[in-house]
Amino acid sequence: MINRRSFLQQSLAVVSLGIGVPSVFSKAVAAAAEEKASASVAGKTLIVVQMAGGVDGLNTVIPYTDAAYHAGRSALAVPEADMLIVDDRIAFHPSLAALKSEYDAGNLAVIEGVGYPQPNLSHFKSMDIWQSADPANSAGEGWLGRYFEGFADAEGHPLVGLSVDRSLPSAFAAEGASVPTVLDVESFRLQSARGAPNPDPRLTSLRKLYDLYRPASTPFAALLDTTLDGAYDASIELAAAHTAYEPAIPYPESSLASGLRLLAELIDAGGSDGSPLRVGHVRIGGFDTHTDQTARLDELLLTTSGAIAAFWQDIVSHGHGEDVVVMTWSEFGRRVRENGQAGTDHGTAGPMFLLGSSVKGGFRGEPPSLTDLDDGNLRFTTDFRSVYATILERWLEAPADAILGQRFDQLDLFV
Amino acid sequence: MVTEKKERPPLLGRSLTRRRLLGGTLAAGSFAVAYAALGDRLDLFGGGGESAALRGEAGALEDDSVKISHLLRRAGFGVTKEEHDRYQRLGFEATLAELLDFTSVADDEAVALAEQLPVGEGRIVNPAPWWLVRMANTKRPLQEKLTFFWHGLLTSQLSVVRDGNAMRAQNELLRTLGRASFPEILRAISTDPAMMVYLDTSGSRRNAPNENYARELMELFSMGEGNYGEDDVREAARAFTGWVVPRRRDQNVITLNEPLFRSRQFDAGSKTFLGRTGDFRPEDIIDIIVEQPASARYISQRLFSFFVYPGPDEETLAPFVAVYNESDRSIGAVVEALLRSDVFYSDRAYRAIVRSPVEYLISAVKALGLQVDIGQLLVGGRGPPRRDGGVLGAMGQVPFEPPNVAGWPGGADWLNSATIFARLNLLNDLTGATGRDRQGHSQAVGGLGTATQALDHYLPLVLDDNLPPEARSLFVEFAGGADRPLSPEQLRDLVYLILASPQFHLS
Repeated sequence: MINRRSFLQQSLAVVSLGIGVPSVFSKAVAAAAEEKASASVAGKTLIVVQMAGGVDGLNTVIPYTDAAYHAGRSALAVPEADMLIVDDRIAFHPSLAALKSEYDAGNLAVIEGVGYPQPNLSHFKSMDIWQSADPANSAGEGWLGRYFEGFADAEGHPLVGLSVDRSLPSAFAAEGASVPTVLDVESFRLQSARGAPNPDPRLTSLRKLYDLYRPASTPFAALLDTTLDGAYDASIELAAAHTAYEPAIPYPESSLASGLRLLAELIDAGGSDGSPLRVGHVRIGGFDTHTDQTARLDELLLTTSGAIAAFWQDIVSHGHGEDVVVMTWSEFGRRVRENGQAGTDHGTAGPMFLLGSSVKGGFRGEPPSLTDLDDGNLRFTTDFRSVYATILERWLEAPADAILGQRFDQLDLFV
Repeated sequence: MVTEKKERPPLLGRSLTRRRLLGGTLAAGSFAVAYAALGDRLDLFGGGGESAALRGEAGALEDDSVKISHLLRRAGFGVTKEEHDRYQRLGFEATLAELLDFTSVADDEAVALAEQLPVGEGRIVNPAPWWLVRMANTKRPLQEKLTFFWHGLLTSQLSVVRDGNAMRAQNELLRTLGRASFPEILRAISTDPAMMVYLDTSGSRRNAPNENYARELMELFSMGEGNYGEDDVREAARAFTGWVVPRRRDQNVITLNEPLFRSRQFDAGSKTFLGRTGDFRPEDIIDIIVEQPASARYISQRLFSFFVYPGPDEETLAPFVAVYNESDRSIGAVVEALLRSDVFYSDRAYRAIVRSPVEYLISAVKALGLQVDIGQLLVGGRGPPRRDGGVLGAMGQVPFEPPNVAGWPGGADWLNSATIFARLNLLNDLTGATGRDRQGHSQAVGGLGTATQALDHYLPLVLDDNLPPEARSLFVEFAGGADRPLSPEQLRDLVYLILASPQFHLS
């Protein structure tokens, strides 16, 4: 039987033997991983929150004293009386009260004007670019997949990464690492027949069937086997973590909040050894506000802010505040000028949030100009890969150059 | 079964281009690459024929019986035992002819069964159970499969449109036009009320056009990203202005009416689109799009990947692009050419597609003989269908609720830790193990006394009788012997195991 660990080793071998046509990244990652055999940092966890659909950054982190903002947003400008004023330049959207408190406490960094050269206005292409961190080959491996593959899977733990979603984010995709994704912990269980003995002989036979299926012609056979094995191992770990966990505060009702709660359970599960979880990924969708933006964005940002803040308080209460950082991202911001249906069309640069006790709070990066535009869109001021590079090097202690394929300037994001 | 190793399938043989081929066409691109690489690895180890378990499946499609089953998986949603036996008697040529000539097959029974379903109450009528009943019972599998293809390509989300009847009307439109010419289909979907609401052509006005539809029309529906510029998006958006879909709201039930054209809101000015200039209207935009070679490639590639295998190379695709171009852009002509082609019956195509959750569900239901009850299984006769899609939601595919405008990514994306449990748990449920108040399950697996009888019944039906010999031994061993009488529970568990086989995930 090929177990998961040896399976992954085989697949890494595939990569290093060159059979699988590894990307330049895989080669670099494999080489760097050999030098630095077990580099994963115990206990440090990154939580990635994807805000899918393209968040209207200008109505999230609002340059409210800029005349160009009001000129472009005659229907959609947030009323000044409602916004959460930060200083004489910037205010937060009214739904971000919970995150504003963390900002006031010095735990939240806002990186403005984040994007990349030659922005792509397709949701899917731009998401791929953000997740691969490679505009030239955005269908390739994910940036976090490359991290798992080279630096985080040293112990072969089934839960070094976890996505809470219906499908695995492409940021986690890798040639030599298999990361589980779950929808919720309750349904993440392989059912036995009613009245089945324990251990269930049917389950044993089932796993053998997947081991046996090894045709040369379909690569899906290997995917099926490794997926079943990985899921089974992960389900046992997750169920144990879930049973043992009591959240310190109630979470709001949303799938984002439930997802973050599940990640909190796993972070806490490691006890004094620290969590096995290096990177968790959750997603909230619906930010593609081409019409009726105001009400939709109000609700979406409230859900996002409420879920992240609850998670953060829970994490701090359980004593893990020093070990967890939350990062948000969206595939693009939206056009400076609103459209005729009280909405906004696809744009370019936008803000990112970074939350944690180890984060140096405040504003980072250059505010993008609202008048010097590129075809109606903001010119980015900070490359998102600089944010990734900083997090990889400073938080996950992994070699950013190898994972990102080139050197990016680091930002001043951590204390 | 032929065990002799044939020449390597072309895609795996050309490892240097595999990343490019797969990467651009599958959302889960790097997965595909990774597992294609692993496939190669296993091939290296298994190529010498030392182990029967490692042998390939090459040559399976030389058997007419397997060919028929392969065709029925791709051009339909699997078969019941009765259908299996009937098609096997008909033979390959007659089966293919019947599938293609579907308008001459009466389908009243399936239509009537679907209409009997409770549609659910509440704010949104959900047409998903209605469609699933049709899929499971249709006598025109190819028509329903083509509707399913278009639903994944020219897609809309019920939760955004919020009028289930409008979504059903869109579905009927795709069913009616499934084999029409591509421009005709694009013209029809562009004025479909559900689509106009979903992608915001409804209400788009000349002074500030909404770009949503124009962009997705080119990127996802007809050409693919990289074949147009941002200027083309803006210019095309101008041509789609002026339309409104009136929305009636009656006690929170939303009804979309026929689209109205308001000429004062239409931007009648000159537009420059993909290198051409004129006072373009929506139909002109579509005409210009379909004239692009990228469009012919795109739709041929989507059809090939749906019916044959994902990510064909240019050379393999070329004959089908030619059929498209030479047939006035007829989708029906391309589909027929695909189903008659050698590549469709090549080793490379065998078990090369991951069954989507809807296909997995319908195939299992039909194999178990539960197709008539599927509506009851899904809505349970207890009020409206679940908003999260129940078992289909857990597997990752609720009809009328794609994750976004790109439809379902498919391929390796269907298989992850969450969805593989959901698939297997569905089988546990269907084979009756959870003992819910559902009738028919025990009946479905009943009537087979021994492991030999059960294997003789199910292996040709669901696995082409083509599996490693060790797997057959494992089934027999699990049942405690080939000819020992089975208790109902043992039979239930054996049927679960057969359907739960890894091969059943693949089409």
